[in-house]
Amino acid sequence: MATKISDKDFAACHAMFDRDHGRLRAELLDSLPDAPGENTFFRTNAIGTRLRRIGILIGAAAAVMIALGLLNIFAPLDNSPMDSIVAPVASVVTPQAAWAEAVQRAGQVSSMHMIMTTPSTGGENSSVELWWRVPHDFRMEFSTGLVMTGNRQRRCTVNPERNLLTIFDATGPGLEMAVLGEVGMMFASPYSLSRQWLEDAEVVSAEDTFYRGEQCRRITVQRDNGRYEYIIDKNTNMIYQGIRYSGVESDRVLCSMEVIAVDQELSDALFSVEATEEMQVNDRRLNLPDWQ
Amino acid sequence: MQHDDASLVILVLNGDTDAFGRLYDKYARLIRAICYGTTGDVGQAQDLAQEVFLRAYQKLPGLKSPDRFAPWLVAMAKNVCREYCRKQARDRHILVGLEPEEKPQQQPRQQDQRLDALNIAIEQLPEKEKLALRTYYLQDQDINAAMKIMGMSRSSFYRLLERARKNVEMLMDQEIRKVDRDIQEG
Repeated sequence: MATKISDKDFAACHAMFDRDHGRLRAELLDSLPDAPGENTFFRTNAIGTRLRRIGILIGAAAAVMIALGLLNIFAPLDNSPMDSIVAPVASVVTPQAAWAEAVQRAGQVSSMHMIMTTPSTGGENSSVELWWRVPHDFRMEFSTGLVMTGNRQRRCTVNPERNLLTIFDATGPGLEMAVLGEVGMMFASPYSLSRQWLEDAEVVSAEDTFYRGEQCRRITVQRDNGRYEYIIDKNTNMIYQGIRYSGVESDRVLCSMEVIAVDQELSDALFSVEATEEMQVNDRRLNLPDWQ
Repeated sequence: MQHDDASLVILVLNGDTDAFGRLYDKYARLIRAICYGTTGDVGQAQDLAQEVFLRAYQKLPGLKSPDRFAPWLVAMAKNVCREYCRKQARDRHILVGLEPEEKPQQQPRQQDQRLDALNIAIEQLPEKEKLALRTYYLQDQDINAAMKIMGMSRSSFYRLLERARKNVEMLMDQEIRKVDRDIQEG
């Protein structure tokens, strides 16, 4: 007869992985750099180094511009992907062209309000609501209560658990947009990233549907072994909804992203947080000069 | 209030190292267990796990979906383990000019014989079953947390876990019989 193993046995045999946890934790946290890896580009107080790094960025940007310019010169005009995405809406007939138009359209809005929900089979869904305004203002409200904002002057994070307001130098929406997945990135990322979306994503199916009482297209796109489904307004080519599935064949939803409104007038107050009397404040600004 | 992984990742990206400490509390035991499968030694597994977290911290800005931190971390742990194996094989080859050895025999340190046998049995499971079992018990038997890390549906995860448990029981029987035989043979 086979040995019966209880949950208690299993738990006991895993106890060895708890050994020295406190010491190891303290050692690890002590050894961490000030900020996670790729954020270290500007984290220096030496003005010369900063200027040199800015110079590198400007140089890189110029190189990209030149490369794009050359592409425009040498690419045959009738086959250029740029031509297909700037074509008038009425001429859009293929799903690929509709998809291209939608990506292009997302890159043109001046403000956007959306919500992303991650389904949870057990507890409550987690969600995050975003307001974003050209070129670099944003506000995010997580279902956990965490709030993040950013404008030209500063970025703020409110940790509700500790009632702590942390203030950083302004860097514009960057890493935060990753939280909002593909739809958020399409609206707020630099155009080069949107273009990459066009080139990397393959439209695998399209069908007509109704959404919010409007005639829409449901377009399914595959990219990086993932499957994405978009609801796109048939007349304006505005993206209303994006759903990301766990795999090409899977029907399990990883997250769904819904655009609530675009091109709205949004108040400046939305993009900053003022400390209340009860809040602790941690000002982590490096006092960068005005050119920042 | 309990922050989910995505919120903690965002806090870390904004310089809150306490938040990284909380992610460490949540997943360090699992990462050590994964590393233990490679090293067979708890101390070395602890060292490798530290390397995994340090690397995760450095690469965090590149994480595309912060809500998928745990599967990303597990994948990183597997990479670190693969690198460790390659390095071990290379070092052995350079030092003694021999072909790489097989993975070292597990050297359980727990005194309880039953738990020793159980750990050896778990280590003999196929990778996926082992990970499912470790994940489930190291996430305090929280099925939702475990299935999210494994990227599986509830029913698939249950099936895998059940199969793993059955196989462990079978392997443990074999292990106990082997020990008995060794004792009898002196």
